[in-house]
This record gives sequence, C-alpha cells and structure tokens, in this order.
Amino acid sequence: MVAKMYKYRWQYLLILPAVVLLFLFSYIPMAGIQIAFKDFAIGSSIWESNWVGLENFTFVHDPQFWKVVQNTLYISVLKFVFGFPMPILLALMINEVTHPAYKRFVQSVSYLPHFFSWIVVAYILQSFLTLDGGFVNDLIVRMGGEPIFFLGSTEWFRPMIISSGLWKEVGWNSILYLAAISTIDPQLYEAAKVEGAGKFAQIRHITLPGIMPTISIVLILSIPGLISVGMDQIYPMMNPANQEVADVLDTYVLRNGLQQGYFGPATAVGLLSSVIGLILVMTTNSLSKKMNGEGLW
Amino acid sequence: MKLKVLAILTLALTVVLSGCAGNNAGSGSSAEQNEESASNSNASDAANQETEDKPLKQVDVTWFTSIGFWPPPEWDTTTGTIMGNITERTGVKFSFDVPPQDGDTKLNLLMVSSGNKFPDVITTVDQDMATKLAQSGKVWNLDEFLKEYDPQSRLLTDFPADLKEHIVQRFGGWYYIPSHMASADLKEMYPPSSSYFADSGKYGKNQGVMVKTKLLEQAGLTLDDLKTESGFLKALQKVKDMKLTVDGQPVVPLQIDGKDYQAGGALMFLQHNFGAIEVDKDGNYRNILLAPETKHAIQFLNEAYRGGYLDPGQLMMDNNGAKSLYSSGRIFSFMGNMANVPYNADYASPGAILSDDGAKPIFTYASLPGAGWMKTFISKSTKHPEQLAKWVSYMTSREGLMNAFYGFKDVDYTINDQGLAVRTEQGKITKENYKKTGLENFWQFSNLDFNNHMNPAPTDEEALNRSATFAAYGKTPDVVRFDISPLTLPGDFYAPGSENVKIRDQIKQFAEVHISRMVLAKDQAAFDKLYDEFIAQLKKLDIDKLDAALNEQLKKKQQEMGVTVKGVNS
Repeated sequence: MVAKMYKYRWQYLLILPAVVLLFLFSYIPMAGIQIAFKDFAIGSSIWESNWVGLENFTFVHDPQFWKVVQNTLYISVLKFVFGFPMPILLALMINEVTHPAYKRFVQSVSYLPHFFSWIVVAYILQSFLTLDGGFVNDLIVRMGGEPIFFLGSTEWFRPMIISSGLWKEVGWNSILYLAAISTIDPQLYEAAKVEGAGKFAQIRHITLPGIMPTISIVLILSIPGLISVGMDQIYPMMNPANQEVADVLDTYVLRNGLQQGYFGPATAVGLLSSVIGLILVMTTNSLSKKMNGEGLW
Repeated sequence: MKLKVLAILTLALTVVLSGCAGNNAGSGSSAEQNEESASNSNASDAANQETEDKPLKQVDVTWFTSIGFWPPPEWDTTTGTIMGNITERTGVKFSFDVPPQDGDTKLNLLMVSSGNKFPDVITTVDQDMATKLAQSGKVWNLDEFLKEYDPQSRLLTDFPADLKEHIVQRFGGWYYIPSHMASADLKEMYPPSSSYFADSGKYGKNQGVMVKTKLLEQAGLTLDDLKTESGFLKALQKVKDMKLTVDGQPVVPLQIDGKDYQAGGALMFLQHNFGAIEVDKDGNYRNILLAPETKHAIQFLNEAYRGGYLDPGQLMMDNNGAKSLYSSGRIFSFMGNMANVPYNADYASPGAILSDDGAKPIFTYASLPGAGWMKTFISKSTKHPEQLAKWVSYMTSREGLMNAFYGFKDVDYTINDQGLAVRTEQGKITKENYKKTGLENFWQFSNLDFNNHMNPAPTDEEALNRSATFAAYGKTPDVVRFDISPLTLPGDFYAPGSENVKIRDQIKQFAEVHISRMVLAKDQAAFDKLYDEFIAQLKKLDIDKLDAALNEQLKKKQQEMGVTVKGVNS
C-alpha cells in the first residue's frame, strides 16, 4: 500500500489541502453537535454546559414543526419531480442543436441566471408580480382579468418557488449532462444511423444509457437535499400572508432557534435533518447499486 | 518533472489560500480593518489630543446596531465637525455594523462565535436581547465600568436615579444607556422651557391616523367626516370611487406601516382606538388578543381590504418601502406609527376614530419611566475602555448633547434671550445632511427632557402642525387615559428558555400569521371562521396559563405602586 501511495504521491499531494480543509472546517466543527444535547446559553462555553439529554428535541411535540416538515417535503418533492429531469431534457435538446454559435448562445443564456443571488431574483419576482404596478398583473388587467396577489397567496407560492428555481438552475445543472454526453463515442451514433435509427431512437438507446451513470450519481447526491429546500430562496419570499405554506425547516430553525438565541433546539433540528439526509443517501446508494450497479461507494 | 511538481504545488497552495480566506471573512472583517487602522493611527503622534485628565490616543472602535433603519453617519474626524469634536474629546472613531434586517439574529451569533472580536459598542431595541446581553457577562455594568475607567464621570452622580432604578429592577444592573430619556428626575434637572412641551408629552403619541388635507378637500370632505368608524370607511370609499390621481398615479386610500403593522403600528393604534387593553373590567390581566375590541380592530382592516382601500401588498412592505410609498404624495390616509414616515405638513389628524359600537378609545401612558427604546451597551472585550468611558460620559453630558443634537453655536444654532437654542438656516441644512454631519443622528443618546429644556416652543407652521397631528388622538374628548406602568414586568419574567417565554413566542408567531389571514379573509363568514380558529388555537397554546402568571405580576405591581387599574370597555 505504501508503494502504491508513493507511486501516486503527486496526486495525493494535490488532494491533501482539500482533505485538510475538509477535516478542519467540516469534521472538527462536528464537536458542536453536542449543543443539541446540552443546555447551552450565550456567554457560557459548550464544554461547560450541562447535558440535558433529549430535552432540546421536544420540538417533535410542536404541531408547527410537523406542519413545517410537511411544507418542506411538499416543496422538495415538487422541486425534485420538475427539477431533476429538466436539466437532462435541456442537455439532450442542446446536444441536438447543430449550429455551433447558436448552441453556445443557448447554453450561455440558460446558465446565466445561476450567477444571480436569490436576493436579486426575489427582488425581480416582487417587481414583476406585485399588485401595485407589477408587469404581470398589469398584463392580466389589460387582458380583462382581476389582479392576483401572487406574493401573498398560499396557492401561488409553491408554483413561484418551483418555476423560479427551475429558471435559475436548469441551465447550470445541464452542464454536467452535456459533459457526460460529450464522452459518448460518436461511432455509436454513426452505427445507429446506418442501422436506420432516428433521433429519438438514438437518444433512447445511446444517449440515455451513456449518461445513466451520471444520472445515478446526481440522483444519489440529490436525495439528501429533499430535507433542505434552500433558505436563500424561500426566506426573501416569505411573509405572514403566505407563511403557512412557506415556512420550511430552515426558516423554522431561524425563527425558533437563531433569532431567539436558542442554539440547543436549533442544533437539534439540524442534527435530525442531517441524520434523515444520511439515511436517505445510504438507502438511495444501495438501491442504485442493486438496480444498475452504479453507486457513490 | 520539475514543472509537474511546481504546477501541483501551485495548485495546492491556491486551494489552501482560497479555503482559508473564505473562512476568515464574516464578523471579524471590520474588526480586522479596525486593528489595522488602529495600529496605523496609534503610530501617529498627530492622533493624540487633550482630555480633562490625560491625552487619549485616537482609536478605531466598532459599533453594532441591530436597528436596520438607523442610518449610520460617515465618520469624519476633521476638526470643526460634530464627529470631529467627539473624536477630539474622547479619542473614538467609529466604524458601524448595521445589518439591514435580522440584526438581533446576527447579534446572537456574534455573542456565540466572535470571542474577543465582539463589537465594542452594541445597541439593540429588543428587550429579550437586552436581557441576554445583561446576563451573558459580555457587557459592562456601567457603574463598575465608569468607576474603573472614568471615575470623574458625571454620569456616576448625575444619571437620573429613577431611570437607573427602573433599569436595575428590570435587568439586574445598570447595563446600558437608554435612548429618548425622559423621567421625573430628569425633568427636575432639565425643566421644560414651555408648557407646550408638557402638553405634547401628555397628549402626544406616535400611533395615529393622518390624512392629506389637499386630497381631503378634493374629495369634498373635512376632518370631522373621519371621526367615526363608518364615516372613515365611507370617506375611503369615496376617495376610491373618485379615482383621484397625483402626478398621474392613482391615490392610495389607506396606507399602513407595512409588515410592522402588528408591532407597534396600525393594529396597535386600532386596538387602542376601539378600546382594547390588557386588563379586563374586573381588573384581571387578559391578553389583548383575546379582547373583543381586538376582533373589531382586525375586522376594520379586513373591511378596508375587502372594500379595496387597503392594498394587501402593504402587509409585506418593509420600512423603506413604506417610507417610499408615503413620500410619493399619493397617500390619502396613513394609519400606524406616524414617526416611522417622514412627516409631511400636508397631513393632519382627525384624532380618534370613534367606534360604531360606542366603545371608548384608550390613550396609554406610563407614569413610571420607561427602559428606553434603544439600549447601548459597552462590550467587556473592548480594547479601548478608557476612550469609550470618556465617550459615554461625553455623549450624555450637556456639552455632548449640544454638540450632537444642536451643532455649533452661532453656526447651527444661536442662544436667545431666554437661553434657549434656536436653529439657524445653516443648522437646518446641517440637519438635512445628517449622514455626513451627524447632527441629530445619534438617536442612541437622545434625551427628550434635555431637548424640551433647550428648545423654545415652536412657532413655525410645520412644527405646530406636526405637534397637533401627533397630539390629536390624545386630545379627543372621549379618550380614556390608561396608565400602563402596572403592566411592566421584572426582567426574569421572560427569562430565556422559561415556560413563559416559550408560550409568548409561540403565541406571537401564530398570531402574526393568523392575523394576516384574517385581514385578507374574502368575506365576513370566512373572517368569523378564522377568528373562531384564532381564539381556539390561542387557548391551545396556553394563553390562559401565561395570563395567570401575568395577572400575578399585575397584582404585585399594583400593590407596589399603590394603584388599581381596570379595563374600560370589556
């Protein structure tokens, strides 16, 4: 083993700083997990705080917590159902574009929104959707309809979140699939053309199987994300009018934990979410290996 | 080979540096700048200046304020400026950390994670945060602080005793300087220059309703038409039907405070206006949310929404949005905290809007001094305690108050025959440029009794209009005055992690969402259903248990004060 390590010493040296950073900033801070089981007060030390067992986990008796979990799962499943296949579809479509300049243009335009921060996107959405002078409501009124209170509506909140999330990330997420598609041997397509296969048949029998390993890996990595829907996106759009559907785990932790300085319960919720995420990723990895032999480990 | 090694090492070094740089950002960044410039300024002999006792070095200190809408000035140490004076007299030069939102959340995180880089000065308005700071051991008790670092400070002898006693009772010690100071002892020190101030102190209130007089005339209405609930709603309907415009933009019949409407804004005004208070007719504590008059207040907003006078988008507007809307000039009526928008002399108030069911409006006042709106603490980890002790003493002294709130004599103000400060035209310009000059910008040290002592009674129309607008509610003949001092609570009543605070916070979070749902109810049936759900859920959240504990405190306080309070309408 030592000989092997020596053989690949430069590669090990290359990854060593990343491993050190991971250890310093991800593993060592895990010592803070103990806050979830302690009566930690501001001004005292983590190590000196008293153990309180599962007292910080009493949020499981709070009906509001379960409502929040329901909201989180609802939004994350919708994001998964729409957000997972769309980048694949986009990558497949871009791959079929033959004009190189147009192909590059479409790619650039599609992933540009990824670089906007969610605060900017929220501001854009609010400007477009506001009742008083918003572009969308102006259009609705001109077409003879009644203005819609998008920003405060419980019916429109989830569609707004899903569609803005898609618009922002679909292009960026398609890059991985485009890269995977570019590794497929072009001779396979030549052979398929000779055999008389059309575009759809080529996609079904060559492109999709070719990028299946990538799809599997991305799927495994996406599953833990079901428990976290991205506070950056939700928080700027949340207000008392839509809070009953907008309140998710992250905002619950912010309100009940960080804003009040209750770090124990906040850590407990975070720990529970992480454990659920870990169970999900292990389950998905195992299923993926059984079904198509692909897995993260 | 050598090239390969070099490339790998360069790449590895880049990764390390980017990782370390990314994790050194955050709350320490302004402190790092301060340390760097402090070491630069400490090296400069020109930074020394005279004080009463010994020359103090000019130092850079950080000031964290959790009030997002406070505009920090751009610090200017030039001699002959307001901030230059402060630096010259005390040695401090400030850099500010003012998060636009959720300042107290950031403060919570700073308290846990900043270690010795905790800001030197901290200002908050939240009572719970003030309690946490006081109990955390991270801030100075000002008695100990001043005795150690400025034993000659006049604050040790001149700080009003009644105010100090109140702060010590609530927080277990004198931990902060309160803003907008006013108390009986302070009035003895600084008696008001005119009965005008006693009058505005007695009747003035920030929460109220005001209407634009020009639009009122255009609509063919007078203030008297707005003095009843149905009259006010009819007026809003009329304004809406007339489709009035200002500069081509439609007039907004009713504006409220934005998303803060529940916290000291329009809802609070309507609750008191329709006669809700925290004490029932039997003299027992009852949460104001349970009062039938609160239902009436929410119902009013719902009717305004259903009638099309209240844009639901306002329920989400932040303070800047609300200010901007108000300043557009197309608001017919504004309801809520009138101090949160820049007062316009075109507006006047009808006073109380009398309830159609005959309930009497209530005017709340406090016979005991308050704990101050803004609370300014000094951090124990500050490396410059001497300078900050001088600063605190200076800013609360007569000289410091004149500098910060009046400017330079014979430039920004003159002293008249009665010894009162009269602002000059230049002073008005200096005040308008407060971000550069700092004049009247240090709200944290505002001393209302001192201002009432130094200012002559206003004679200009705008000031008189403003005063009349803010006092209109209090002067309404049918208003009942109610002393809320018996409702004050000891600091440990809502101790962090206690049962009381858990119940209170759950109620607050639930009410915030549900009240908005009631305001936006589509019809009366939906409103009534939501209201019944509201009361049922409040009971499930143990509101009665909390009320029982609050009732016990009420009785204790009444006994201590020798008074008895009872509800007015229910």
